[in-house]
Amino acid sequence: MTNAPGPLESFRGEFPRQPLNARRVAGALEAPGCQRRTALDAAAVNLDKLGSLISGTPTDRQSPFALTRGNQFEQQVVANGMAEIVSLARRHLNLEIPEVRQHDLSASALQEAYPGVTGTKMNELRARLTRQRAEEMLADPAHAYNLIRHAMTRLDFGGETVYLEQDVLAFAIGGRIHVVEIKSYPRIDGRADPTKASATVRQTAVYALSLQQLMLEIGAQPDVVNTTTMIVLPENLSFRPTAVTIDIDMYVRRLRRQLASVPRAAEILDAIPAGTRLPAHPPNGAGADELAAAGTAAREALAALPPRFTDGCVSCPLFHHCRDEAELHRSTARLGSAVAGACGNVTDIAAAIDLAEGRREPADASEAAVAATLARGAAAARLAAGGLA
Amino acid sequence: MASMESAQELIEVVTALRSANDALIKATTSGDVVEATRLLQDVAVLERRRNRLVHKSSPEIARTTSSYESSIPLRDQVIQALQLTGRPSSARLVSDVTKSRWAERVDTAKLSSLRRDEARSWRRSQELPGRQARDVYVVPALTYDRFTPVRGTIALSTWPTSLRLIAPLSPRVDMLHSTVALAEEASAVAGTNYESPMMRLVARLGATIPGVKPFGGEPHAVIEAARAELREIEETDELERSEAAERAHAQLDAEVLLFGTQIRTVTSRVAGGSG
Repeated sequence: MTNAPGPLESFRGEFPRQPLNARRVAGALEAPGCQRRTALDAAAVNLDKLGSLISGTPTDRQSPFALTRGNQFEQQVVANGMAEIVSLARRHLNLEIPEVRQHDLSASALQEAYPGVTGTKMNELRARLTRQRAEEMLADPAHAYNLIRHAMTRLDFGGETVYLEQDVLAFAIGGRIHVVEIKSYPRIDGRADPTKASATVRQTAVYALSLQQLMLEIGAQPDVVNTTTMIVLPENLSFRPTAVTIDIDMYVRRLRRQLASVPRAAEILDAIPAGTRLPAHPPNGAGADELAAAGTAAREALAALPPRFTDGCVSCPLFHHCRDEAELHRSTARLGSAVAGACGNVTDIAAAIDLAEGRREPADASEAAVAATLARGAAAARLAAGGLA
Repeated sequence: MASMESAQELIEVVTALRSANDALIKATTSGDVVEATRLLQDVAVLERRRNRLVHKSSPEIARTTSSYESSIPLRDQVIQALQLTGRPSSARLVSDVTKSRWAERVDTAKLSSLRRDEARSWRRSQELPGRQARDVYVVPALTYDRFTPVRGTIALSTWPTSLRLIAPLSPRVDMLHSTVALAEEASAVAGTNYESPMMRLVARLGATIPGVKPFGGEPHAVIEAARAELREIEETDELERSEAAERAHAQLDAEVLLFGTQIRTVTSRVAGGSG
């Protein structure tokens, strides 16, 4: 226990930092109970860099073309006094005609008024202004803003303050605050890519939760924040915006529980051998040897952090590493969550097969139950194979 | 021979240019604004044709700094576009308007340097008493509460202060007014090459107004729908803007009134204020 750098900072060491954002906080939902991911998230480690360092494949995760397309679509949607958003919010969030009072809290917009304010100072300023605007909504709804572009809220994640930037907040005078999220993947024939859609929903839940916390801070009821959110997407293969509304209440609740368990990150890192830390990331243009050495050091540091490998792990930058590790340890998790769940507390593939084949005596009641299930499965498999022969 | 023909054409163009310039002087001195505006556009078109002919006959002649695409200076294009929209407009709208109405490209990236140039030019005209101020400056629209520039939104210095201030409803109100103006212009240029791009622009803007069918951006329908929406929100906007304008005139000096203020050193308060 030290005063200066906490266990999180000392574990990260010289490794590049990447401030948390909604996308990453949402990642906490995708890998529930993974101590490794939680610790790395709380320590604000740059996961993409860590992932490419340990797997030895230097890849940028988001294509610059995708980023450009996303920005273009967003620009188009908010152009001309947020004309498209106004139209969609009237249709989907029932904003009345006069409810088009709008305000821009983007960093670039505020720089006109506050030159020289950057970085964390800018985030603090934006969070403070967002709070003021929210207070106005409660105190004098008729004169408050109805559409706030790039509002900024705060969320506590394992002791680390995360600044979250909402695309648009919509506020109806008679009603509540909605989160509006602009995405650039298309909705084709009324359906969006389910993987991307669910990632968006989880990300939006992070915004909604942080807004609910803001409401509590200013002495309002958290249910002022309506969990029905509006997602704006390009329609089919055009750039024409369309919108869907979705109630994300369930995700917000789940996320709240998840976040409540996050402070254990410091405990996780306290429990690992003292002095375990990530190596410094080799500079650009470093030789293969240097990269390999750093990769090995990073893998050693990670080994101290217990992972929980599940189906949700595919989107994690450390996926390949953890999968290989699970395979190396012949863990049932490697076979997917369904199999791992069926195997209960039997985590070793060899042990599970032995139980199924009756070569091994169950050690306790739970193993006996697993053995019964697996034996039935094995019998069914034999029958099926025999039937084919 | 082709060169003979183009030489003949060049003579014709230069002659036409000369008479257009003469007429322009007459119109300007007699104060006929409408005629002068029209002639100014004629002159620009003729100059472009002249330059094209000169370069076609002898390509080795050094080109003027701007290409034919934009022989009208950026500043004039922007002013023209703003006069058409009639309300504070985003850089994006200005560039859409110049593209649709005059088939000219405005590089929006250059607008911020234009804004700086305008402020500098205005300041110099104030410092040197002999120097004449320009008739109109491209200025930033200002926020109605703090009078700071609104990012990427420009206006004309000749507009009343209340129009240059952006109150909460103003982005929507201005967009509706500009749409009405553009729809009227689209009807006015019916039958010319500019009709269809203008119609497309109007349809795109109009599609977000309640009561307009998607893809059915017929100017009359768009104008009516925009006016209907304006009836519900414009009064409040006018009130908020004119109140702000009164405050602005009471508080601000001439320069800030045009180019806005900046909030300096918000962080220089004594440390330990907020937690």
